[in-house]
Amino acid sequence: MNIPKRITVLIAALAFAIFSVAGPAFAQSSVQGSSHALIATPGNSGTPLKLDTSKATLSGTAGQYVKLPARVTNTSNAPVKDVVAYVSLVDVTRGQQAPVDLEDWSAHRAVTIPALAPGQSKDVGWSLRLVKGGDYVVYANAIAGGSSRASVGQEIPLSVKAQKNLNPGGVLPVAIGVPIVAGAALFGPVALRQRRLD
Amino acid sequence: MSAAITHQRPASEATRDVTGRGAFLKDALLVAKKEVRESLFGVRGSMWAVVSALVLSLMSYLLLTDKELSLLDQSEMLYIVTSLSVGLGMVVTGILAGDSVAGERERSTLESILLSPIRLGSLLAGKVGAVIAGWLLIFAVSAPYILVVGAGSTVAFPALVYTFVLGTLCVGGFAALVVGMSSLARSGRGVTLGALAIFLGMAAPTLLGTVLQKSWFGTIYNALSPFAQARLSLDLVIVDKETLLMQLPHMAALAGFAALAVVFLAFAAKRISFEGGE
Repeated sequence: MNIPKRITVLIAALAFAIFSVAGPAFAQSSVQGSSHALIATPGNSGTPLKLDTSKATLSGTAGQYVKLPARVTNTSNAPVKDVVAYVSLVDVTRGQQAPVDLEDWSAHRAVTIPALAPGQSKDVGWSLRLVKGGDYVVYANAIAGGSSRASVGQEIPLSVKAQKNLNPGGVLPVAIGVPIVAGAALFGPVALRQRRLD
Repeated sequence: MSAAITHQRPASEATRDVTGRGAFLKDALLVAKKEVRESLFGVRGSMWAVVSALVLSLMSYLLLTDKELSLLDQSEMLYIVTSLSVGLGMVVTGILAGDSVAGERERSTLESILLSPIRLGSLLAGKVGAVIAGWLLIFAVSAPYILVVGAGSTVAFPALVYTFVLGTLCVGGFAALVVGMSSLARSGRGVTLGALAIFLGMAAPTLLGTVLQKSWFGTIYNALSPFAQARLSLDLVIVDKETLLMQLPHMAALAGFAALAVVFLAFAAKRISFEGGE
């Protein structure tokens, strides 16, 4: 193999190696970027519903509950039926970006509105139990029965302060004390009996 | 008299038949007291209570403190601790009951017990009573954990009561079943292994996913497993905050299991021998 051919093969091998390492990460970041773009724009076009939230930011300490109020409005000229409003939560803490399972945050239940007349609004809300420290984005969604597009409310940054609690609910004395007391109460007579026999 | 000959009732027993149920219970209580004293004053019986306390300590502390605060709701944590308490009770029961009669046979002490003026039914009832006392000890150890995990919620005390009632039905039935098996078997170790295998079989529905648990297979499996019945009832009480009315089918199923186990024990009592079965 002559020198130019060797250089070409080397460049191709290097390019392949770089792409195979960096490619998936690049692809992932581009997907994240595009999904972020989707979240950033509250989507009301094509849906008869509009979602407004009075809170601009939310914050709290792990263990607390925070309220997320929202108002669903029917902006069309026709009544809508079977509206389902729900919350979405995304962990945006650096290195932990992922959607969050809301069952753990006690906010997984959807709010259903049987019917909304033209121009009618309905206040809905969720109570989120903050379970883990970090930065999050929370937003409300609503979808009308038979519709294929959901209306997305504005993004609300949620900051949760971590809390290290070594003795929640007084569990520490019980966790340490019961095995010691049980051991002493049960092994004590055995040891005493053994000593008497000796 | 060959070792294979089944138990012959002592002549004195015929006269004691007239004393009826009072004598039966008195003898059973006597046997249970002796067994409990032996079990609690020996390391073997005490060890299980301490091991259970350590398991409950580890579980409740991890549930409450892991990841700043638990990712689970308090009611879910309480449900896990109460289920664990019943599960530990069944494991300890299986181990203690497995050795109850077959162990006596292995140590060649069964013959002298069978020849003592205590009727066979009282002997086995006493053995079952002593094993249930082991469960009561596990429950007493579990009580502080249930109360501390449920502190501040409205279901802490009902959880304690339901754990006692459901656990006693479930563990009592299991104790009768395993003592019956122990009466028929030759090896205590074999019965213990068999009892643990039965417990694993009963606990297996918990490994099924939520969707599979709701399928016909999961429904039938749950209906047939006494441990699953106890867990479903605890779930309804603690997580779903349902009333006593909703628990009655589960309690009836557990009572049915306990009754069947007692029938099996009575059947095994008639076939008890110095040598045991296979």
